[in-house]
Amino acid sequence: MKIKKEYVAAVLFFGIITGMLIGLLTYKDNDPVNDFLTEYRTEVRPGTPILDRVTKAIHIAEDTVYNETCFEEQYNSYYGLIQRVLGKHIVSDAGYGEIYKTKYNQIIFKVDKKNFRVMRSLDAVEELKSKLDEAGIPFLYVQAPFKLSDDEQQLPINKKDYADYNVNLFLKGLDERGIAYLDLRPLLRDGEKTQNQLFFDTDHHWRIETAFEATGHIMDELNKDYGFTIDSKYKDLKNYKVTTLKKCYLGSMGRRTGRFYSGLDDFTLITPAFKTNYTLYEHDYGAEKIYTGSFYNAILDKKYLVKEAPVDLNRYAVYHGDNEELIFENNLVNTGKVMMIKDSFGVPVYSFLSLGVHEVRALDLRLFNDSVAKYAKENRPDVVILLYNGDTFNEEMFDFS
Amino acid sequence: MLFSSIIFISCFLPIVLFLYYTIFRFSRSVQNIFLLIISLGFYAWGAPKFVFLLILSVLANWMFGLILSKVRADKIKSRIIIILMLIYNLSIIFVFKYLMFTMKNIQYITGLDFTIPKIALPIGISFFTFKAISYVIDVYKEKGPAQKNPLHVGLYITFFPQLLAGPIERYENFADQIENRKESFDDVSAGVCRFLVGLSKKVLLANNLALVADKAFKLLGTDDLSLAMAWLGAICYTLQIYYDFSGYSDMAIGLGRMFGFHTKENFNYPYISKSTTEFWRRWHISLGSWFRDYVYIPLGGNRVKTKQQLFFNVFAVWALTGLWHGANWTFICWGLLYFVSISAEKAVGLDKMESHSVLRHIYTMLLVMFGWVLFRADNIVDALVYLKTMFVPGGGGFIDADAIVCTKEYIVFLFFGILFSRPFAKKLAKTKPAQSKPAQILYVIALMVLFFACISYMLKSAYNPFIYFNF
Repeated sequence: MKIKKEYVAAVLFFGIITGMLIGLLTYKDNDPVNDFLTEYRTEVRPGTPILDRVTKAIHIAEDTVYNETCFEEQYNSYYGLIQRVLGKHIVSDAGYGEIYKTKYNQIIFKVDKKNFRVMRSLDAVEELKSKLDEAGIPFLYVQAPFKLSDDEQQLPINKKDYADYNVNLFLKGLDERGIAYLDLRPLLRDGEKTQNQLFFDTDHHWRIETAFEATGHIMDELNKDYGFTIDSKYKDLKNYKVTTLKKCYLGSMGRRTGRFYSGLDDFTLITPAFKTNYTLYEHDYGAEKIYTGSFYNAILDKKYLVKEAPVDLNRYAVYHGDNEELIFENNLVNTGKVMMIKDSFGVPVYSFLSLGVHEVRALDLRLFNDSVAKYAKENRPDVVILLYNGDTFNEEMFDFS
Repeated sequence: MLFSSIIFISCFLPIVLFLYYTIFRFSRSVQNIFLLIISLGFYAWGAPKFVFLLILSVLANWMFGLILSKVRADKIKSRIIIILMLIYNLSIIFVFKYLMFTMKNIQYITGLDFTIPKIALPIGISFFTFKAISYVIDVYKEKGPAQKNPLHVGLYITFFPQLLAGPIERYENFADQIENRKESFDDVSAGVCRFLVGLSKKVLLANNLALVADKAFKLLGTDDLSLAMAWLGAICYTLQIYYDFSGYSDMAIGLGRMFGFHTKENFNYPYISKSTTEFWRRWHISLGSWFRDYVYIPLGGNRVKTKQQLFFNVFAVWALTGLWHGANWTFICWGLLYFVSISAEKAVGLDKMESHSVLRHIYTMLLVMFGWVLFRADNIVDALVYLKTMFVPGGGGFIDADAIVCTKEYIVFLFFGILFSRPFAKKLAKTKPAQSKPAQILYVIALMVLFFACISYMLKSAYNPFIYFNF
């Protein structure tokens, strides 16, 4: 019997779609029914009209199926491979609309809103600062660099990024309002490090080495203008153990395009080579976890250190990632209390900064919903640092009330 | 629910096919009821509140058909029923699709100030209403039996592959298949291949070309549109709308075959046409033939006594064709553009001409492309500005960064878009090497590679609407 090509195609097709269905229901820790019900109960309030319930249920069902499709990483990789074969520098992305490969072969999204919420953010910072002034608590805004800069055109020639534009506007506003700030952009982009050394190729964040250098600049600023006496040994890389895991990290951008498009990053871990002793309090959703011991034992999240871990593991979070509130108590340093409000760029920074001061309290406004000024008044830090990068001008991150 | 969505491919389709060919395979009636229920569910998924309108349409037209079959002998009564049926169906379409447009125009002409209600457009209303009209008229013309069972009418009108964007399958072609279709693995496998081709057209070509077209038309209001970008946008939209709609039709035809239904072709390489008359024989064939059989011929068609009558008949068909696409003057003008071009072609006998085929093809494609600009623009002024920019550089100059980058980024899609708009693959399939075993294996591999590419694009890409869902 002659087997037709259409028969083979049909059998394969039915195999694939059946596999997708079975995978959806059983792959790894997928539980679409339970996830759907959980999301539905969260999203749909009692008393919602029936038609709205149905519409909402449909959206949630679609999202659940979309998010729990099995072999997503493989599809990502395949998608990336196609983009690579096509020689594309602009990649369509469901989350960002578009993401780009720069002239340095780095993957990034762009900030495409000129002047976006800058004025409102300035007003919010000014209000926070005035409340802190009342309490006699100094304030410092620290500007972390966005991956793209105005210094050169890294994106395809018809694309313009507005992160630096917005940041310049924001810092100018801080100047006019007499609010102190530390602009890390010129300090880090001083020509010593290349773009690929400053930032991950596959992630939108700065590399750990860059975050370490940035922490050094913050320490200098605190010593110079805020009465701190942080020992310079804490910013000297010679006093640290530097371990580089080769081609093991696929960052947030690479996870969107797949490794065949973005490549893989090396990941460097910087840990103190001197004696340390910590108590770290982690607060999330009313629960508390306490970690004690050395920097390595108390602060580092060990699951991100496994060499053989999948490449899409978010190793960037190794320095104790996004939590509502973290309190680092350095038991070997007696002075210096820092309170830091931060975005994800602050993750390695607060860990490194905690080596040179007695206490660092770190808040993430995506999770922390209380008044920042009230919190500062209760805990009396020597300085409140607000550390954001150039794409963080949004309502949530500047809602200090 | 979109055919080109993960939920359709990984949940809806495997479950429906499995149930259809296992639990329900022993009874045609049960299979039909099942198909009707899932078709209504399919519609409700995208438009929950309008599913009742769809059910009402089914029941009303089933009643009209039933009454017609009883009074068929009485011509006057039959005609009254037909008129009532048309009033009913066209009123529904008018209220949901044209009332706001009509009121806006009345307001503009009279200067009166009154509130215009915001009326949501039920998805696919033009398609299912035209199928409903086809049912009653075909019963009247005795081209198909009046169904005693409303579920059969329901299945014809709501059959999910054709529900949202056609093809507008005629009742006379569908009637017999309701009860007497024969499913076979030949049909199912051919349907799968057809579905995959359509999915690839939509997800890989249309959706990517759409990004360039959207970019160009977005630049329209900013004075940054260059001449090159305007042409690139127009070419990309020309290809996008073809692959979007013909891709949907392929998927609909393929899905139909998976359930044993044979649907008439809706496209036949319209972009190889050498006249606009030929273009409309190849583009959206089901709509063209619907207007021909239910509007043009009842009006008298070519067999009229005066040229004025003929002129009016052609004008009416093209004005309605334009209007069918949407409640906007751009669509009406687009329809009338074809009225003018087809009338002119008839006058000079262009369609019958043998010579100058390249020139005729270029003329046709330019006219079609200008038509698509009119079709795509938000209003007539925008369309004219866009068309002007295609010939007289505006603020964007001759060529700009957008045109360069878009060409570089999408050149592959453009190449394949142009290549497959011609019967290249069809001719290739007929060659001897294509019949060889390695070629057959390659065909299957290619289909699977495309399928996985589609899934990855569906998961990753931001763009996925169907243009014809708006009609």
